[in-house]
Amino acid sequence: MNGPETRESLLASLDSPVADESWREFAAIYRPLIFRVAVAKGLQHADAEDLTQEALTAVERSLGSYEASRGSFRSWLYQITRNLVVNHLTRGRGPDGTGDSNVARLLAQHPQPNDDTATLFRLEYRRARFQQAASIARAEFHESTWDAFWLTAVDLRSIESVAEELGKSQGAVRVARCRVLDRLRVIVSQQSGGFEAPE
Amino acid sequence: MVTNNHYDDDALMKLLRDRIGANEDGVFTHVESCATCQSQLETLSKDGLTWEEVAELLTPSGVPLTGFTGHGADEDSGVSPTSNASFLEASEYPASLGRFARYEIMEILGRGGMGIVMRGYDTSLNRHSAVKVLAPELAGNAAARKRFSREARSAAAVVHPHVVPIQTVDEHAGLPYLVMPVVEGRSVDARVQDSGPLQVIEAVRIAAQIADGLAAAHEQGLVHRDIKPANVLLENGVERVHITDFGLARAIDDASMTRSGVITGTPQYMSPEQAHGDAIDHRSDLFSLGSLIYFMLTGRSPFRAETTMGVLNRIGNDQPRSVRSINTDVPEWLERIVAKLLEKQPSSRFQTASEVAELLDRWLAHLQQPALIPPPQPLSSQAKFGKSPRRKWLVVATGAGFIVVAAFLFMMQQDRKPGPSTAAAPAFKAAGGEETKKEAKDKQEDSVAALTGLHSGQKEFWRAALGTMTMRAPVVHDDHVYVGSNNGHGYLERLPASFDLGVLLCFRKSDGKFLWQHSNHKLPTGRVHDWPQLGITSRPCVTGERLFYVTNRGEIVCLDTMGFHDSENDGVLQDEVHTDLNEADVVWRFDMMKELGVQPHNVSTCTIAYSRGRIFAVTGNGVGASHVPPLADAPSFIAVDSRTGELLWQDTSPGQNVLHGQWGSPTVIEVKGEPQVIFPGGDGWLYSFDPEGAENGKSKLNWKFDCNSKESVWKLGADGSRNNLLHGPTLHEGRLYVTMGQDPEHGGGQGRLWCIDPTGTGDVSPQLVYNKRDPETPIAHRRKQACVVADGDFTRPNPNSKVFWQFEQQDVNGNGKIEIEETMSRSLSKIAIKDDLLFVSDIEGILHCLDRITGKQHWGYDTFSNVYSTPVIVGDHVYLGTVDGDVLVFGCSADLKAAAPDGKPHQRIDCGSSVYASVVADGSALYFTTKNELIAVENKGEVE
Repeated sequence: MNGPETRESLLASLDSPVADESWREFAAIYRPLIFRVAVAKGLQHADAEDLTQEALTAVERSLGSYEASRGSFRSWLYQITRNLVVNHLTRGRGPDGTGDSNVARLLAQHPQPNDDTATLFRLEYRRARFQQAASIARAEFHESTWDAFWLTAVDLRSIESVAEELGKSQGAVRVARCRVLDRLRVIVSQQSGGFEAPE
Repeated sequence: MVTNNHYDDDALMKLLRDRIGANEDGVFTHVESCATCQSQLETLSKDGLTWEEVAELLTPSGVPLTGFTGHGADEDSGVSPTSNASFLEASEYPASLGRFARYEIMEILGRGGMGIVMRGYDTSLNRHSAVKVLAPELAGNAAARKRFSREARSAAAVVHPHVVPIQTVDEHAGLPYLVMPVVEGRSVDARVQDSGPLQVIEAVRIAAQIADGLAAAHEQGLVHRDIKPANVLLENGVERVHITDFGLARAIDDASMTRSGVITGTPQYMSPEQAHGDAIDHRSDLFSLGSLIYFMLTGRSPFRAETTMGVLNRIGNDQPRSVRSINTDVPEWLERIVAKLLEKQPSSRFQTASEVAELLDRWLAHLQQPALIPPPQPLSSQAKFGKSPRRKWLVVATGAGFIVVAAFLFMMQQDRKPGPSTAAAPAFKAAGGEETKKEAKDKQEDSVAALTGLHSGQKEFWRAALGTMTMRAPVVHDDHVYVGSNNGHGYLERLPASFDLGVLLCFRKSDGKFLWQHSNHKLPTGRVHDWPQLGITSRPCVTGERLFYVTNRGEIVCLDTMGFHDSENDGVLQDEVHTDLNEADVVWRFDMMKELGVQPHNVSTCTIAYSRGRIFAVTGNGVGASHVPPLADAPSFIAVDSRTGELLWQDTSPGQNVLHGQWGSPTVIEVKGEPQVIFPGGDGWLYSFDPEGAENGKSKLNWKFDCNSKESVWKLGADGSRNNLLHGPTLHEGRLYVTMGQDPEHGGGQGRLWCIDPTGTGDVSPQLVYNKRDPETPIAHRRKQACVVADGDFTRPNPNSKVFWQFEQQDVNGNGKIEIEETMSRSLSKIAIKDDLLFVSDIEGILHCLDRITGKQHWGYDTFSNVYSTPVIVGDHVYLGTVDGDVLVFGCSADLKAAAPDGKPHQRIDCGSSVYASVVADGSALYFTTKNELIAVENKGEVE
């Protein structure tokens, strides 16, 4: 889906000092994500906003250090952002080093595999991806198809009651929700260049 | 394919994915009623996911996401869409987002540091306009609002085909706004980003038009201040140039500068004088034009670096890479024009925009018709890239946001003249302020020039060289004078001035002879905790033969005041490597970073308080380099055994609510016979504890007081309304006085002076915050804003309040306006009191005289300099040191005419270099501390 060329051009455009689609896409995913993780880790609303802004700035400044040989751009972006946020939110450690080397250190430092902030980050990343996909997919389906999916899969209502409400057979509701889910997975995979999130 | 009466995976995938499969109806009919196929269909669609996971991934998170709605959020600003929408009124008009004043808002065009730009449709005039509204969060700030309107009005006076005209300047629902025509087209920035560097002829055409527009504005006395590719619009089709945002840069300086933008936020097009925070004139725009032409020709700005600091540094010091080395199409004459525009010295640039416009027009004519029109005379090759820049930096300590940080930093890095300078010119000059202010100061200086130098009646005893930066007053004790500085003088042979150290110097009081120094190397972590060249910023605390201070390394150190002159190595610490007479004898050392995990923010070191065998310290624990919590889980306040350095008790009250650093110092007072130790917290609260502490090393709180108003908002920079406590409070006849401010690197702004009663218990703040969900229980304090009205918070007066009075501003002369002399700006000052008169300074340079009982201001006097020091009352006079390098002497009187006859202080003593520290007086001498010298002069008055 995303060959090296696409990645490089995404990188090139990210490196430019203006807002553009690539950056917006990146920010659209990570901004709410970092914010949620920060709030979940106990930061006050306003401080979480600051951290979010700060993290995005730091990532933006580090774009130049990406090397294509080290794997996909998206997975690299995911890793450095996660490392930055997780390390920043890990209390007691505190910052050291000057601003820049500090950032570099935070970017490079891998969190413990079972760190709960890292787990949360991963969950929130997938959530962001899926919710983004849902906003795209929603427009592609008939309302009743979408409802069959949403009411059963997300609102957790019974197939039976939803089928009755939508005037469909239970089998049709099952098929409908499978179709939506499949579409969501396809969009997630396209949007994220095949990169979902590492375990 | 149906196998065993069921469909295979291929067919099921088709069912999942094809919009209208040829066989869909048949397959669908079967699957709809076949449990086996349905099950297989689920397996295929889920591909390893479970329905539980799907639900978890898609269930909206419980965390509210105000401000972040994906594509709607603008990286430029941090202004949240919700806060935008909030000021629009509902409208019936088709496709309108809402109504603002007489405009139907059709779309949001963009958001910047200053505000929001919307496309508005004026139904009465039937035309579309760009409506620019000051960001609601800034509109709460009266100064920002005034500045916005004033600048917009002056910008509206410029009428020129290449300047986007301002049609209306008005205010609606408390929000100032201006209206401009909509220019259909895009910015030079967008153009170059999309299609790369421009053709030479195109760049010259655009540059000539910009220069032409600038010339018109400059004629009106208006400087743009923010010429950059994004502010130059190219109208669709005709590609006519329109300069936008004229003069508005100044209005937004404070707002956008301090905010770290994700995308923008690098001052790449600033001139060196802007980067310094110096006063600027129209030639600053010409430098920015040079950078802009460079960008058009090469696709990149000339001064790029990873950080804002880096950019500012490069603007000030570096010669950019030659244009022609990047784009070989650029002719030499054009490179010379760009180089001349990019001269560091304004006087070396072209002197007017019209000159540039004319030159570019002639070249353009030649480029268009080379055969017919001869080229103009080329510039001499003097202006060239790569010339060595060796300009001494003059720096200013006023202005907005991070420019000052930058200036401060440059000062630290560049200003390393070692040794005493008996007749040095003031290293700081006033700038950044209003023109009128500068003129007024010149006048004032003229009129008192005769007083320059020491007053004839006052004898100078001695002078001693300090480092190159001295922030705090000396302490005079017994036969010694102690002061913290940096190692700019290099008193020790083993540590010459090239070593950047924090040093604590000890001089002999009788003749100023250097006795010994305690030396501290810089922390390897650099600016996060420490700061280059800043030296020791903790004023020592001396009792008996012991001296306590906080080093630049986050340690509390106890020294023997006799050094090794008593032929003894005192204390538990015996491993001093250097025991010469000019070295310090360390009794004990307590490393707060190592022992307590404290992370001091930018040398936030307090002055230690001593009482009954205990010393008290604010640890300085603060935010990291990014200015964002979480903070290290370390105590903010500690009590230590003065003999052993053993920790007695600690308190973490400010916790994650610390705004920035913690610079305040503890004070021990006695109220009704009971001792209290008062700690100013980094959260803007004053805390009173029992000096004895509680059991198990815990603290015992008497009372606490929130010095910020509950609705105030924390922001770095001038427009933040939430402040820190930078000093300890002052007790006088049972009343406690304290000022508020911010790290002066982050600019001036509204401050406050409190007078409170220290006899209370519990929360004695004037207000308590509640939320309407549970309107009877006060809610917990919040760092950035304690009362968020939009979230249902509200305040009630606190029945337990212990406020006597507060002073923010007062229309003393009754002219219906609040002048700067009537405003308590942010302050680094403590309080001086004699009889019923209270004196306090603020960093804007106002000396205030108030009635200490009522808080009513008698007068405010503008020194036209920044002031970091506390006024000191000596006999009938008040001494005040200024950043401009003077010590001013006022009469101690409630009558301004007596305090400053004819509008002038009684005496102006030119100290030759900035005076940050307060004047110190003892029985026989006064001590003036400039940033690099300690001067002892005769004291003819009495000490208060």
